[in-house]
Amino acid sequence: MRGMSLCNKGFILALFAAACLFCLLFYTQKSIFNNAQVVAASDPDDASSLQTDINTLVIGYLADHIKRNKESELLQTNLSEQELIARLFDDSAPLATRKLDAWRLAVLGTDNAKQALLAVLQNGSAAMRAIVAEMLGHSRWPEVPEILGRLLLEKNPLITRGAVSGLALLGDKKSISILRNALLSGTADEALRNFIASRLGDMQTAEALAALKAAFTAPSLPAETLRNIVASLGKFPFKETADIFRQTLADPSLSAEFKAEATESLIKAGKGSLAFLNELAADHTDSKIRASAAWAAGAHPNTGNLGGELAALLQSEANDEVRRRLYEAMMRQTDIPAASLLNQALAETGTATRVAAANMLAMASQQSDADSALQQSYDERVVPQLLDTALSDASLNLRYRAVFALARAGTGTAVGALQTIERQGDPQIAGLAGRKVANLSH
Amino acid sequence: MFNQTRYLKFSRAIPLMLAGLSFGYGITAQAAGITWKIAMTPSKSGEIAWATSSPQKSGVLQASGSLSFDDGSLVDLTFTPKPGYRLVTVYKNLENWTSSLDGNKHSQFGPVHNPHVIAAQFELITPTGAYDFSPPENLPEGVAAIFNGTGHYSGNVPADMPIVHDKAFDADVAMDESGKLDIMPNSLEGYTPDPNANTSIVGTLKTRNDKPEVTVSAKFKGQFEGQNGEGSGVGTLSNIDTQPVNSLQAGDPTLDSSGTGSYKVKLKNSDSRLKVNHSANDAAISAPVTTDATRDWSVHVVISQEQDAKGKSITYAQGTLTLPTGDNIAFPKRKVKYSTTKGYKIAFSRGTNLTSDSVDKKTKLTITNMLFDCADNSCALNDGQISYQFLGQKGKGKLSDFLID
Repeated sequence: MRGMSLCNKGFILALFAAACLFCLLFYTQKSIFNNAQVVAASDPDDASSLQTDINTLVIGYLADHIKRNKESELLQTNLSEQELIARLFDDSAPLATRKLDAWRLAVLGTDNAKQALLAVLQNGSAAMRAIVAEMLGHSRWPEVPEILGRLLLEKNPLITRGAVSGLALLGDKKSISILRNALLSGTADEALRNFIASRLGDMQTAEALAALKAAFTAPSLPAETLRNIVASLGKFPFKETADIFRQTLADPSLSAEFKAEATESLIKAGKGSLAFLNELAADHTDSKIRASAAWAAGAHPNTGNLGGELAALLQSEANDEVRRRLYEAMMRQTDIPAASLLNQALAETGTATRVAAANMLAMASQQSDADSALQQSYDERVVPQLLDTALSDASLNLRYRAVFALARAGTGTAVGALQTIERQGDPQIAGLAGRKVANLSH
Repeated sequence: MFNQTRYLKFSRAIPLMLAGLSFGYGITAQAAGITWKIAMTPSKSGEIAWATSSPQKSGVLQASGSLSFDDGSLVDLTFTPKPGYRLVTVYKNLENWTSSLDGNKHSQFGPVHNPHVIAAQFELITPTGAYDFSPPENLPEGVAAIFNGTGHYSGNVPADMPIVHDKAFDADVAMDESGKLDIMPNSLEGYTPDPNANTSIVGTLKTRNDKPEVTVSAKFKGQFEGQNGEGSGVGTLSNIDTQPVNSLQAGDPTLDSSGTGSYKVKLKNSDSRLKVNHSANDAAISAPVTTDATRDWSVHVVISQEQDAKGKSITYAQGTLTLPTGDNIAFPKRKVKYSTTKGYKIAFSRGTNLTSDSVDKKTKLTITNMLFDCADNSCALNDGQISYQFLGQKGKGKLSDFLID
């Protein structure tokens, strides 16, 4: 906040007020117990404006402030330290209460608190040992990383996971080093290595990224561990991991399943990964990867203006499953070129692809520039097909999506079809149609 | 419960084997004593306890061998199959002696004056039958549930989430065969979506560290309690746990779930054009949700034997998997082989989805080390592992935990 003091006071107040509005709108805050950090961070791949950066800083400050306030509230208790310790040892007290007490003692940081927590860690039930291991991650005692590191050798997965979470909460170099060594250790339990691989992805530090990169290139890693590592790498900005993902997706020795996992993890890699996903959707030789990339491009939080590119892919893609995912991706664009895709969408024969195309056209019909011809074609040709699908014995998923398409189109004909489904469908589909009719009538 | 078919091919070989043994060993009887040759097939498939009256000795043959005793001695033989095997026939020279055995598979010979060849034929019991497996109601640690996410969800935003806490929400979710989600909200208390905006929510459900993990990507635009805004974000709820008492089952409408959340959001105030990015990790979330989604699934496995054109017995396994979605996947019969040490390995894949009448390339189920305890005419499933992969999720566990009695 030192930087903010240099700014014009009025400007600060205005930003603060705006940030508060955003908080009121959308801000969700974590609860106290598993908090590692609340990070207000601009996407490194974004060319953020100064204003956005400042707003982000303010939001970060607010988040931190709210977190500290909430922690302060939780620390306020009528119990003395000795009473807290007594309740921590009380096996008849609810586990959630004892967990909160363990957190309080870890944050208090007194010698008595440390002795009590270490005593439970030594002699408590497995559940309490796991809880204390995790809550020690909120402490600042220097010997805690080594203590938690030794717990990684325990047989009980509950306890080892607690220790991993504690180390992840500490997040310092020593803790990450311990996690890295366990991840790379060929003798460590596979489930533990899998969990460490996941937690390193949540830590979002340079050391965690380095540990994941080192593990990714390590020989003889179990397949599931490798899967978790690549998923965690996908949480870092794409520019930090691009080489790894490009090599992975080009490696003929890796399974399509693994590559699909890698591809789909990139929806969390920031704006920089979107172009790569488009590239994969267009050019990868394996249709499974093209399908995954198409889905990920649509699910990416920065998607929205890919209408032209996705339309070109749709018109050249021969694989039905890939087209299905392309339609789903197109559904989330603000520039759906519906007119040029209408005939192709109407010609789809596979039920899942046809329903995906119907949802895409329905979303296009909501666009401000949607023409009446689209609506007419939809009513005449798509709505009857969707009605048939919804009332058929197709999978529940497809029947749901057929109803979704009708609800998204929202035309009079579509509403009529929904009313028919409400009357004639099985209870689950009829209920769904009923909710959509009620929504549309509001 | 099980049908066993004898390996007849061995029966045909027995007389030849006996003739050979008689030729080779039949002349070994000495004037001072008698020697019998004892043959056992397959090797080490059983044991033969023996006792002679003169001299008074006893022992157990673990493999083919010979017995020497005095002329006129009584000889007791008891034939006991090793676990997983059973006794088929006993020959004395070329004479089928099986019917002469008593209930303990024992026979007393003698007084013996001549050398003989005794041949015992055992056979591997091939367990057959029909088995049903389904995940237990309370899943053991490390066993992952497979959820069908398709359904109607409603509830209130958890109380520990400020601003939107306790706001009522209502949404419908469609989940496909890969775990891909299309989420269509019906309402969030206080939020009015912009009807002309492309707002949609998609996601995916996977299994990570033996727990469900949901990733959701949302675009939203509209008015929340009087403020116009828009944004997009992606978030993940990991390590999802369902409470044992109200775990998600067919007919049970409540999902008490908790997990760890992380998210990144971009927000923009439509009036002031101010933008902000925000992210958080490790947010603990606990949310009781009412839903009609399910997690029940089951597989019916049939192991049977059939004769091929040459009369050879072939063992087959076939299966029908009922997914949590209600879809039935039929896996046609495939050859399997039983081993007393490794049991059956049955790998089901590329089944036919009978609901959509299409090949299902994404559903796999494998049973390994499917071992039985067998005695004569009955076998009981002893051990094994099951791994399963469908609806974008996967898990594994002990077969006995999944066995339906």
